[in-house]
Amino acid sequence: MELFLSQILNGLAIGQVYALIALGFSLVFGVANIINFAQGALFMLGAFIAYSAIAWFGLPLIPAAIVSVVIVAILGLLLERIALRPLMGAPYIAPFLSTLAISTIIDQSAEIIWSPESQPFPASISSTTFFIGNAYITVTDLVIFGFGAAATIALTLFVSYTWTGRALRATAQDPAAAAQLGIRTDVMRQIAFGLAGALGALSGILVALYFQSVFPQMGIPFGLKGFAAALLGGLARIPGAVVGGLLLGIGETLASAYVGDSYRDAIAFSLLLLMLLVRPNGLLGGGKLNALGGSGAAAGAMPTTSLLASASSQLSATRAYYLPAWGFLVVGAAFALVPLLVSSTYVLQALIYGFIFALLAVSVSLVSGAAGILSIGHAAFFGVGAYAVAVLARPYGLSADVTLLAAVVLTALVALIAAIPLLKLSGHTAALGTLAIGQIGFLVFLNWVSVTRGPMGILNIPHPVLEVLGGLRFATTGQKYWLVLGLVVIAVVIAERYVSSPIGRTWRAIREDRLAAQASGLPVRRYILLAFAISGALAGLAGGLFAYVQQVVSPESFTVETSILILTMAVLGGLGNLSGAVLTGFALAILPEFLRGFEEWRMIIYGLLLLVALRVRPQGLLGAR
Amino acid sequence: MAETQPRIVIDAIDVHYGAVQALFGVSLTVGAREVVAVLGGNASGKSTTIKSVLGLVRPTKGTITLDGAPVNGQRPDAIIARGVASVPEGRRVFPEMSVYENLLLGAYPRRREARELAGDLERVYDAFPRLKERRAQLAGTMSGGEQQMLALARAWLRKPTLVCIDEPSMGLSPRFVDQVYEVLQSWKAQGITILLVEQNARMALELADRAYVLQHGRVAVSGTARDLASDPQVRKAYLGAA
Ligand SMILES: Nc1ncnc2c1ncn2[C@@H]1O[C@H](COP(=O)(O)OP(=O)(O)OP(=O)(O)O)[C@@H](O)[C@H]1O
Ligand SMILES: [Mg+2]
Repeated sequence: MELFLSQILNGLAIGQVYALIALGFSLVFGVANIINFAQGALFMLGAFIAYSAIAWFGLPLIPAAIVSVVIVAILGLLLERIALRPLMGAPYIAPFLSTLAISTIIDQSAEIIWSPESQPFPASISSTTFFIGNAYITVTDLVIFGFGAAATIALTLFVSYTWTGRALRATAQDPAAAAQLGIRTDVMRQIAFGLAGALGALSGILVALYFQSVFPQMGIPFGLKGFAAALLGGLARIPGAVVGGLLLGIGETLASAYVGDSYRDAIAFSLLLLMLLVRPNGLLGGGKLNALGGSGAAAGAMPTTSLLASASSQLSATRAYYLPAWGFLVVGAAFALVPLLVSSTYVLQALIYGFIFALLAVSVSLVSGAAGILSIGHAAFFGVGAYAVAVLARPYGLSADVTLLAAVVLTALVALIAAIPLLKLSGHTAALGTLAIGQIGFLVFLNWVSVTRGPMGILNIPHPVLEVLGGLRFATTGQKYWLVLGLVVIAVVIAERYVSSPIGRTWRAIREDRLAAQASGLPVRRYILLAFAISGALAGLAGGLFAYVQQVVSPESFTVETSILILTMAVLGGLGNLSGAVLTGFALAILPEFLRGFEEWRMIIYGLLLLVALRVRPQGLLGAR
Repeated sequence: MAETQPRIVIDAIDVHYGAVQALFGVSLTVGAREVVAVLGGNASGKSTTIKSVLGLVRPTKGTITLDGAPVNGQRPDAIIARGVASVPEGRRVFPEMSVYENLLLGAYPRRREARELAGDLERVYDAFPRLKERRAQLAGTMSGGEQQMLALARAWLRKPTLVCIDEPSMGLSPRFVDQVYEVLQSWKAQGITILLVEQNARMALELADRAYVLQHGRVAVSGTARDLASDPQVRKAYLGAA
């Protein structure tokens, strides 16, 4: 019982921090109508800038914190200026992807500047412990709670009683009307981003104090938790964000106490998915988010669930270029000749990865482009396929026919189940749901040691043997090349046939306007589930082949970075355009081979490519379909 | 001199929404202290005309002059800062804010005049007792007619010398329409210049000094309100006369 009470007190402290991150999301969502994926990156920068100010420049904690908050607030303003303002009138996904690209660039730059390792935070508050009855609470917890609460109250007073605060709320409720009253809505957007930066930095510092460590990858998990808290509270209001944050903090602290600390995050994200499933409008939210285009795609200005349409009618229709299904057979046949001409295993290996990522990009393009749910979680499906093969082929020694089939079926099933919480969502919210799925997948690969062997991974996966081909064994790289190429081509042809069929047309109708599709009697949920199952099957096959090619499967292949990479490929190719996905997936996968020695710049380059593409060619290289 | 210079001069503007052209060489003048009505059927370009004046859309051709200075390409806030207030189409009150806060936001350009503002707020409450009663109510929960009154009061708190009004009688019962026009009449008496967009030609022509009729994005007829009210074509099309 004492433990229970202590955990609750403890959870309130961290929950208050989540509330601050959540407020950053809510402010920006309210005023600018987008979900700022880079909120987590701002949070991480807040922690690291404070860290550097203390560790490098010897500043005491408080001045270091102030410096950090100011710098990150300015970065928030810049973020709006660089990543979002130029995209006014671009397709609805563009701003979200733009913040995603920025976040990738910031995260990777942080790894270069501060090294990818976790570092102890060089300041702490006294660890004196108080007892309330038998429950205990540390001074650190109290200080964190106090600061978080003070910041929340200050923000509430600011938006309630100042002219700027009122103008912010007016802009959030009706930007066009606000502009007609003489309010500079563009400045309001900037202020919202600046405040979000300040809140992010403050929460980053508090988290660093709480856990006593900082690491460059902290942005995404904490950002996602902040988003979960915001969503829990209904995404639009300050009290909601606070209640959501506190509930999440208490929930995950209890979970880590009673289930195990390694499950802390997995439980937080599962909670998020559960919420999406049962109360997508949040605990406090009424029907408001529904009015905002299906649980928060974006506010009233968004009449459709389309990712590709845009608020301005100025976007002219664009052409999409794509191969018919048989075209992939021709291309595949041409590639089949390569091992006859090139014997370098290095080149063949690179091409094999190109094929695998082409398939992954197709998998994402199918679900994101065709069915309209932006997926930032496909690495989980990729991983399920890889682990399925690894486990069945290594400990059980099954043949490749069985293992690959199992990978495909199992992943399709996992994707189908994972899609259930997403059915009521669209737009940005659905994307963050997929991110939670991706994170849960990664955490399961990492922590379910009895099956996955945890961080060690599964080693020495045997060469694939196909019983259907009379026990044919694919031992050399050239042989594996043909196996991978053959299966990838078959899978892509099947996928293309789906996308070009009436089913594909229905997917696109759902993507363009889900309400209209529903109104005309289409079984929308069934179609979305089908899209996820097929997409999962493709990702599972890619994972299975990956396991055979690598001969090693370990969690670090299935991080968010991988998910973001695959999504970037799909977007750059033109969402829903499988030919485009194949092209960019293949090209971006072999790109690092040209960047030998600059591996750490890889994600930055992808991020920049995405950022540039969103501005000059938002419909993708070959055009979205 | 000040009396003779027109407040608004719209000179042969074209407005496009993407590929769609909404206005074709529309010209219009609003003199000082004048009430000018813009009439026309649905989609004739009335709202687009008013939005061009407010800087919400940019003409692709032609010029707009406000008090002798061109305003082409200026942001709405810069135009509002020159003593202009707007009563938008469909009222557009902020639904999740109280009546009081909505009123205050009308005075946003005057936010540094705290003292006078308090007095003006009292005067609004005197003129609209209903708003005083409901000042703590969320604007979104008010009736359409009440919201229209709120939108008018909000614009008045701007202390404008020029008001742009888009269809104030839309969706209102005759009693509320009368009330709206009483307010506008009193503004006219105070010497406020008014650019009024209306479908309700009868009411608009009673109030206005001059009027323009738009058809398919072009000015079809223009003249004094009296002449237009007796023009057989206008009577037939907009006043329901046989
Ligand atoms: N944002 C927009 N995007 C595309 N077309 C627009 C937009 N706004 C107006 N239009 C088009 O411009 C034309 C004129 O519209 P406008 O709103 O000016 O008409 P109106 O005369 O005010 O009509 P109503 O009486 O129905 O309000 C219409 O054909 C309309 O469809
Ligand atoms: Mg109109």
